[in-house]
Amino acid sequence: MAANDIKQTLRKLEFPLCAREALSRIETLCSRPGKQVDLQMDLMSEFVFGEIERRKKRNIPVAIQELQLVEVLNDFFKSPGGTPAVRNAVFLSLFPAETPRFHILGNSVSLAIATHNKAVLNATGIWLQQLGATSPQSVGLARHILNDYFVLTPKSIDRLKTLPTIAPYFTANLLTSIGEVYKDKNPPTDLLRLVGDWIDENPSLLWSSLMDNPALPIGGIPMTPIAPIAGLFRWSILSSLRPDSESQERRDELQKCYSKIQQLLMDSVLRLKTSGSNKHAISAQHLAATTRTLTTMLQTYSDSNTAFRDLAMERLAQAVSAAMSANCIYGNKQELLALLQPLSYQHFLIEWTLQTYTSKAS
Amino acid sequence: MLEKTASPENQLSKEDYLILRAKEALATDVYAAKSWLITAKSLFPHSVKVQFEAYRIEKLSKNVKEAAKCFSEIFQNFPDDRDIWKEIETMIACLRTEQSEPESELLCQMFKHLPNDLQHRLLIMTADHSEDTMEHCKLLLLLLRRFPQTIATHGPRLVETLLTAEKHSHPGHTVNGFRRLLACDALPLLGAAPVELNRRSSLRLLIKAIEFYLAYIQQPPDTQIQQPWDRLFQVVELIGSKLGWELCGLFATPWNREAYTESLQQYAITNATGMCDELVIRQLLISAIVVLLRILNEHSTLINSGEVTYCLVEAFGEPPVPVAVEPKIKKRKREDVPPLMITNDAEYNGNGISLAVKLWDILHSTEYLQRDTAKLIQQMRLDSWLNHFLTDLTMYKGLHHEALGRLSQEGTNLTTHLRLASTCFFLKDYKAMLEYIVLIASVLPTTRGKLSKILTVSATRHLHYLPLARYPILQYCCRLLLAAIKENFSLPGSAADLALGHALVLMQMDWPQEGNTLCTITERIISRGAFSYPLFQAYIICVDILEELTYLWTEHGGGVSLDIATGSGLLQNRRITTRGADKGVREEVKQAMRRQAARDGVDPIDELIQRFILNEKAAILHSLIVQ
Repeated sequence: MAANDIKQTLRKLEFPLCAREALSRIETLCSRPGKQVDLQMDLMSEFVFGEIERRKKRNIPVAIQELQLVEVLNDFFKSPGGTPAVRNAVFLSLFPAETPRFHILGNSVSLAIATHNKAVLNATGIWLQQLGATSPQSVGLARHILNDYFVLTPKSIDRLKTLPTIAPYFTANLLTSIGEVYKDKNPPTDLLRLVGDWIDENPSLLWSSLMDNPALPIGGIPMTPIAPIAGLFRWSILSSLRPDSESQERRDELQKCYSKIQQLLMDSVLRLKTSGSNKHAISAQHLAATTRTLTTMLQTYSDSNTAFRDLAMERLAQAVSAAMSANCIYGNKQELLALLQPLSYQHFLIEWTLQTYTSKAS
Repeated sequence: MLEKTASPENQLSKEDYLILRAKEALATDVYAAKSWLITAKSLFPHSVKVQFEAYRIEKLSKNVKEAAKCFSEIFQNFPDDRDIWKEIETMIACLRTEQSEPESELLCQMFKHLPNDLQHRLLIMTADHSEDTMEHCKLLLLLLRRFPQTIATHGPRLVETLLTAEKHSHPGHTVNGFRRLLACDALPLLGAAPVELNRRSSLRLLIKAIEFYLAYIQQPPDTQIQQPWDRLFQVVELIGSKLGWELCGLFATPWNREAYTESLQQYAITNATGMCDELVIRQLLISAIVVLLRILNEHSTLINSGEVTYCLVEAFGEPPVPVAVEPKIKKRKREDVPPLMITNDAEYNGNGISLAVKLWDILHSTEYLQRDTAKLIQQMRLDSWLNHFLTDLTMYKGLHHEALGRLSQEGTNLTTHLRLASTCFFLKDYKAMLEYIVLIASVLPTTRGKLSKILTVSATRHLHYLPLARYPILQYCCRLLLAAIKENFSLPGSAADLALGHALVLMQMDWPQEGNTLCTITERIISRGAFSYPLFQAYIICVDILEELTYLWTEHGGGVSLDIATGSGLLQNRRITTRGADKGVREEVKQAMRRQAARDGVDPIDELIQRFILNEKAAILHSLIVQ
């Protein structure tokens, strides 16, 4: 069918029917050799997102239209038929890196989490990885989801508990993005607990983005996955130094949560040593950035509690030594070790770690 | 600012310091403690101390899985570490005892979480390490039980070790720890596993197991082995099937003495022509012996389950009352009379002895079997089991001479004397019989017991389980004497009167069971026209008998002359006779009868009879022996 015929046919349909029908057409086009990428883009723009307003009289309020679209999207990806690779390709082209459609994406994913829509969650997992889980877009999506679940409807956090078993690949990538959301401040306690439980109950979660290969269409190049480990290490390392107004008791309790996450991370890292040869679990740059931040904070809050300072350095040293021994750091290790050097005068464990690994890294 | 805080104390090594930090953290924050240990592990991957501490912490936090993982890791990296060996020993000990203490339960649980091959290796290694043979064998058994696939390799070796160990530590004692492991644990495991055993050693092991169980059962009962017979039968079934025995299936069926005997009989009949086939003979021999012994064991338990014990004697059979009608019916009547009846006053019918005899007959049905049976009995030292049965067997078969021979060797006790009296009766050696009866009467038990109603049944021969109590014993003795004395009723002269008189005394014991004999006696007295019995006043007190005699004395009853002299009292030197007597004498007879009758129910009958036997031995003998 010629491009115009398709458009003509679709124009006869009302929204949201035209959106649903357009998605089917796009899927068909996508699985063909020629693909007709331009036509796909046109169909998305006009019939799915309604960005080109030909028919003036759309008298439905925008919010309701949005809601209808989110439902259509969720239904479409869940519907039987179609190969995962093609569906994932459609998903990626629906939400390219540079578009104003993030709002729709965020709402779709939140709905998918609530309804356990695995197809959408898996596609989102790939989206996160292909854009880079630490990219601003991915961090933005994570922020959107956290906002929906922790701010707008805090009572629905329970819905997130089983996420790792439903969609491990998505959860792992999301976790990396969430790590970046709280790059410069401590995460809320509920989130901290949730993350602790996720890892505790699903020890393999931290590397599932490394192990699983996403279903991409033929010719699609998977981007290097980023495991959540380094980002979460930053949480536990920096947490004790951030000033807060909490009571001592509450601080201790919170530190227990961090302590748990720290231990689970260490354990996962150590397991990497025996469970396979994945050398891409932690990027040296990621740890180096944390080391820089820590160094700055130690200088900035030079009058802070010694125990907290020690705790931060201790955890950094623990993380580096475990990761080095598991040989799962990639990138510029020399730089990382060099950044650690000044701190070695402040904490014995950093000193010992350097003594043990300096020769090996070179 | 550059001053280092929290630097380790100088005397501690780095790894010790890290362990110290972990231990310190453990009290408040187990996660922190573990992080410290993981750090220590990454910095000192070859330190057993660090890994052991990690193991200890997992154990303390009751993380069975994690603890198992740490344990495996230590064992893999440091298989010679002393501490890990201590831990292994404790763990294996816990596995063996299966105590329910929390610590040992934790270790047992942990063992289950170890990888299978490690479990296997640990058991073998501890077994090999063990210097105590018993310990070694128990560990191997544990291994076989948990890893049935190892039975083929280690089973035969275990059996050999058990046999050798027994030879060294307990020569001559059938019941010992090693044999127990062999018979109760190793053989059932080996038997059930697909392991090839050669015929010779299978047979040898089977016989060892049988010996053990039989010896165990004979010991004073303990509860260490539950249902030893069932377990023995299981071993016979399993090893039997290895030997290709057709009969092995029988031993899997629930115990029932009749059914087992029936099956063995059937097998013997079916294979009557194959009685020189080694396979047939072996299985028939061993199966029949084992079943025979179980029947005997059960039989004696049943017989002796009540308050009194029983003793097998030959009692009395009587031909059916001849019906003088058509010969057809007569013939059928005769068929109805069993050649041999076994009775018992208790609930159990005592048929175990018949089944045992049937099996014994199978075992002696051919010369070959007979010889092998004798060999097996000698080899397994079954004499003590069979001695008693063999005596019963001679009685059962009516081999009185043989019975006499066997009984004479059995020592002097009530049971033997009763059986000797019984045997002598059937050999018609009444003098000896009386001697034994006197012996019996002098040592009667105090338990009263009940009179039997089935001392005489309608059968050609009759064996009876006599309760060893006062009344039944006396009753049986009276019957023996009575039966012997009856033969002399028709003697000429005063000897007959004495016999008739003794009979009257004896039948009082279980009156009126011998009522028919009274008819015979009165007929005799009437035909003789006179009756003289000097012991009358001393021993005849039964009202019915007294009335019958008084009636004979009257004109109407035949006017028999009674001479009932007393041996003592006022009437000494006088004879109370009725022939041509004056009125005074008549009155005196009536008085005497009344005096006697007054004692009925007052004078204890058992004591009266006992007195009679003990005091009047000479007089009784006189009526037993024909001069």
